[in-house]
Amino acid sequence: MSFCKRSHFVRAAALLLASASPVFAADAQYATQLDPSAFDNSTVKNNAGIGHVSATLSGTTLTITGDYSGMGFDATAAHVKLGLAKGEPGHVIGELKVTGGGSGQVSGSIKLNATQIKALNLGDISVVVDNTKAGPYGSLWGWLSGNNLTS
Amino acid sequence: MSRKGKFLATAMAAVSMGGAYAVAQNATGPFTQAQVTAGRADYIANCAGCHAANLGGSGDAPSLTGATFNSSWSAKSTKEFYQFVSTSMPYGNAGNLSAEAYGNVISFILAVNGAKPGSAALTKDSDVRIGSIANGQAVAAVLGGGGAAAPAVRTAQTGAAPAAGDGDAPAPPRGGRAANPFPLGQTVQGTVKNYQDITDDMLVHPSDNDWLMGRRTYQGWSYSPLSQITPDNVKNMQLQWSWAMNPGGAVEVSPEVHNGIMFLSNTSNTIQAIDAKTGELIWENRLGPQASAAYSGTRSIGLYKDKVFVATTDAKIHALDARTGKTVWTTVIDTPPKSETGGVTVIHGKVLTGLMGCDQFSVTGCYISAYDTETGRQLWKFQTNAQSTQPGGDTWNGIPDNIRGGTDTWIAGSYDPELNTTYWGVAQAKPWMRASRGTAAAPALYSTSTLALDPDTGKLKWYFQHVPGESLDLDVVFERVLIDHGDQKTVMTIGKDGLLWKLDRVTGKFLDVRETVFQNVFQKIDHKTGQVLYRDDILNQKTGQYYASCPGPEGGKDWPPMSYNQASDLLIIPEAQSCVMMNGREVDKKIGGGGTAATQLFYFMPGTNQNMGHLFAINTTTMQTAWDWQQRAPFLSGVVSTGGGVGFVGDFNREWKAFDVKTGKILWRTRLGQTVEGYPTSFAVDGKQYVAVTAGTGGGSPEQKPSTLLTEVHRPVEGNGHQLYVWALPSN
Repeated sequence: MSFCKRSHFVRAAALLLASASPVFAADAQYATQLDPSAFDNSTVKNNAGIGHVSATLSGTTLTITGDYSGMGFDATAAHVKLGLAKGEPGHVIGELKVTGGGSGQVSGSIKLNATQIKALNLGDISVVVDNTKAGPYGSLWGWLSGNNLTS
Repeated sequence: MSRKGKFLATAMAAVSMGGAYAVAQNATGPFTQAQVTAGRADYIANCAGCHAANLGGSGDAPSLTGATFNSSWSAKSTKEFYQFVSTSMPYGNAGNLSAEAYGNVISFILAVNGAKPGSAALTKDSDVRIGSIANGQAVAAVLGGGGAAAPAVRTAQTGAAPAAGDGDAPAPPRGGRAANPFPLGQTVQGTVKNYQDITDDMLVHPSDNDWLMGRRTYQGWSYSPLSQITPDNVKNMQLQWSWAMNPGGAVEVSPEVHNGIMFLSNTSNTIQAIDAKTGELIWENRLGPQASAAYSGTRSIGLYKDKVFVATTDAKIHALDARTGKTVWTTVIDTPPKSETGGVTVIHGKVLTGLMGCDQFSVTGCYISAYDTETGRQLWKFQTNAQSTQPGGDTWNGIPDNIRGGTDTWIAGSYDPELNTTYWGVAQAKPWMRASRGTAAAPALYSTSTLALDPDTGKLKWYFQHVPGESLDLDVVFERVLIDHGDQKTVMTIGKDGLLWKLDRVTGKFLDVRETVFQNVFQKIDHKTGQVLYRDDILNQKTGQYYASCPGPEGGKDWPPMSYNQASDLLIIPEAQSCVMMNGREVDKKIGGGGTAATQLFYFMPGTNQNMGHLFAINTTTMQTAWDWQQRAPFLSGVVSTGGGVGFVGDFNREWKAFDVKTGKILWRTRLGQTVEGYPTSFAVDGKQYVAVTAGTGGGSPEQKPSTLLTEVHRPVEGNGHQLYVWALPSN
């Protein structure tokens, strides 16, 4: 094969490889403060506390780490939820781990589909921590927001 | 199964169902007759002020009987009910009754709703499903044959019953011995010397020294042209005098001043004339009724010719002699639970007023009305809940006229003398949620609208409905601020939803709308037409389910007024930031039924770091943000700005601040004895500029939400610390 033919071949092969490989955007960062979930005077003590969470979207994997403190009751679980809008509780789309106690860490990873990624960038995805007295909206919650927000 | 067998099975099912119903009717509750009897008195003393003597509810306080009570509590237990009441109530004093009193009140409420007393006393641990003992049907005999006795005044000192009688009856002098600790009538006699009658021209072109109406001028700017106080010297301001005000109710008043005399409304519908320089009381007329509810006072009074005009919380309007305080005439607007708290607007010989208490279904509905300033004769009324025979009457989904609740008007209107047009905001239809009121997607005119009326006839010139079929207690009822941009005459307003609207006030044409806080209730806002579209779940709402609303009924924007600073062309807006989950309840569709009928859970607005206060300045020509800042506590006073370039605002956590109008920079702050709550004003006497504001407690969502969310803020007990404060620069 002549040099010219070889270089054309190499270029064509490179183009073919490039088109066949998925092109991943750079990782996107999100964060939220965890505030008391909706309550009234009769449940205010159940939802005391505060937390901070950061999240990284790498491809379709959302990895979450964070902490919570000041809860009057032991943490039992944490979830990722998809709402109709930022500030709307929504439904569970993934589970996270908590270390337990009134103060501790929350972590985990979940896979998101295209709709959920779009929702994430609209601010519609929340992190919720439950404790032993959690009501229907959990105990602490916060909606992830980051540089990619499109809302 | 044979036909006979099927018939028997059906009959047995019917008997068992009927039997179950019979059980519910006759089942005894976990409380005693003695608790019911004591509970009636405890309820009157602690609950009736908000929930009404007949448990029918009022404003933010839901009905405690009927379909609303049933839909909220029948599936829950007496233990849950006790837990909720004992941690949430009484409003402003939650958790501070004795266990015995809570047991009594709950027993009374259950008995009113059909539960029968038994032999065991109710405690916090009594655990019976409410629907198994009570059916929500009010028992008149338990209420006391047509309703419990009139609520007693709720003060820190006594729960004694109020004196009967009208505002003109002579009463024992202040400080003298009286059988009633709070006598009504003219309690301080005096005469304002050298009083100058207020003319139409003075209302249109007021002296810089005066503050003649709630927001100073017909344009509703809450702005004083006085310039003695500047960003450089405001830090030198000193308290000149203060004045303790009536306890109870909500202090949301505007100290109005004419020629050195301050006319101040207090709760318990009391009007005082005070020397604005010295704080010396000249005369006092306690029109009554006494403070027994969340509001109990008026946000503004009218000053015109030789009279002071006051609309009171029992839906009356009074004219007082400005010199002496003596009542000249009294006209009944409507009957309780109708009320008036928004104040009046006086326009060439007519005093206009709105109406509150329209949440309960009634024959008369809701309206704005006008009265002759000389005689009190009613001149016209404009129905804000359009009746079926009126224009706009076909917008309520066909529900009967007397089941069209809400459309209250609880902020006094503005006025353009050149156009001879008055502008009013109308509240939402009630019950709050469309699923409760049965209006479906119908717009329900003239709810959540700006009305432009002819003040001489009450005729509607135009209307603009901001949120058709509003469904989350996010009414757009607040001040209409009139601003000219060259030849363009606009009216601007902002509602609880935080949407700032700009309309052409000649034609009502939509010009612009701008979001000022985070909101998630509208999925679409059309900036070309002003049309808004709710989130799908809100459009398809059902009773008994929670829906998220950011902002919630605290706002966004609520009654504390914004200020238009003409020199900078800035609207400076005191805003709140909180959200709710709201759950609409069923209501009784009959006269006396209705109410607001929704349960709420509160939460901090996402993305605010739990900052509930937002002070926001926007250029009204460009509709661009000039500056803004947030703080933990929400603002419960309006903003007043001045010609010197200084603005003032106060908050829930008792801070009163001065800021630079151009930049928002805080220049000075001080701490008062109670939440800073009211309409601040600025006036001058003998060449000296003063700034005045009230402090106190009471009110609806603007106080309720931070009381629950800001758990670290501790205030003096509700009812204490109602006070007027007046500042100025030192004389030298």
